[in-house]
Amino acid sequence: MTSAAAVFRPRPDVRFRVVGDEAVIVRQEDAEVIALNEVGASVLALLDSRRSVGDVLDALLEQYDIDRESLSSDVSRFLSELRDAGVVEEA
Amino acid sequence: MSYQKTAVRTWNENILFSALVELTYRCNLDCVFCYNDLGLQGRPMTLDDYELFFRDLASLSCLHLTLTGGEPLVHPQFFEIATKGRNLGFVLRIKSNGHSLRGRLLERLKDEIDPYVVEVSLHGALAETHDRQTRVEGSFERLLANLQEMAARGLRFKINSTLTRWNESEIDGMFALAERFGAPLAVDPDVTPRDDGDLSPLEISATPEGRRCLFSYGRSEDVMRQGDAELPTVDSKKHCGAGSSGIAVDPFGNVYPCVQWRRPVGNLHQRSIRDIWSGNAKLEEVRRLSEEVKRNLARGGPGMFCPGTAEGLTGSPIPSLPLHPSSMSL
Repeated sequence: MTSAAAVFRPRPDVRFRVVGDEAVIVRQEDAEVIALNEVGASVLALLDSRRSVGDVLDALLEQYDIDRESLSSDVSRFLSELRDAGVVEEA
Repeated sequence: MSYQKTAVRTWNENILFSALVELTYRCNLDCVFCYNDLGLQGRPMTLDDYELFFRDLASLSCLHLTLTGGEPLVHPQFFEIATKGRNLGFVLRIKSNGHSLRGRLLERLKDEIDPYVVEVSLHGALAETHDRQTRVEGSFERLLANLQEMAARGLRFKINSTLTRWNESEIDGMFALAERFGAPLAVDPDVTPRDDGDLSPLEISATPEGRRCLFSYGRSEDVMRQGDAELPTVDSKKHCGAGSSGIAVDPFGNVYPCVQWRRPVGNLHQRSIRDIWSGNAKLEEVRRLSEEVKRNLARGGPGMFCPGTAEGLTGSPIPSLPLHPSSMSL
């Protein structure tokens, strides 16, 4: 489980835009394009080198009708996937 | 959600996703078939103008930003402009003739701008042909040396070429050169008129045999998709993304649907791109025409068709065989 105090940011070679309710990510280093759905886009947009994981959860709880424990588990798993995919890193 | 679906969405919902910006028409080469209108007058965009423009683009969800020219690297504020693009999170492409991409400038480009890709122009497989088209002696040898240096520095590059009467017999050699550098080669089969309507560049258009030969190499995919593997195939009711997901801007702030469709739809000195993009009757017309082109081509016609080039040649962007530019013997 990712610590609530941890802070994540996009890796330096990552460029992305939120297009409507989706996100398009380009990992320049490997010329890889990744698309995220609405929830993934919301999380990515919040990873700005300032907000902690706890802050991200707070912001998402205002958008989605879900209990904090389930959301925390989902976000933790998602951040782990983004880190493995080379999209984000710990600040 | 796949990237392809997102791309389709940008076309269908008119989401501005890519912008091509001509920074200057100055150039350190003098290509015979250059399409730029060197006589075009206007107030050049300033650094502040670009900052405002790029901020608006980013706020509209535009991800892809291509800086071109002329030769963009000879713009006196190239690095300042490109840095603004980088800082605003664009995927940057630089379209350059490659002539000055070496030494300190190349180092700065990699370190300060970190473009996604640099697209350079190759005019032939032989120095004689390349230099004949660029009208600068030694430009071929210099380009090869520069490509070597770019590869050594880890800068991703792609090679673009236009098929002409002069280089059509060297296509195999050009693909071999590209493979030597591990770079994709995109061949545009059409020389286009100058943006001022001057048809003289067409004098060196490839022959029908040259075009057939290009497509017979089994490399039609490289031609059709312009060698850009990350460009998704878009299944849309529109023929292309001109004016729907993309725009082009000249050095004086004039906005066009596409670099090849030179129908002005606004000027950035007068209106922001945000204003130009929405509720614009000229853009709506372009989008409608794109759907009409798609419908017409579905009834039969050549696989490759550019409404912008067609409008420049015939006055109409709608395919009307046998006037389609790819079918004409010029």
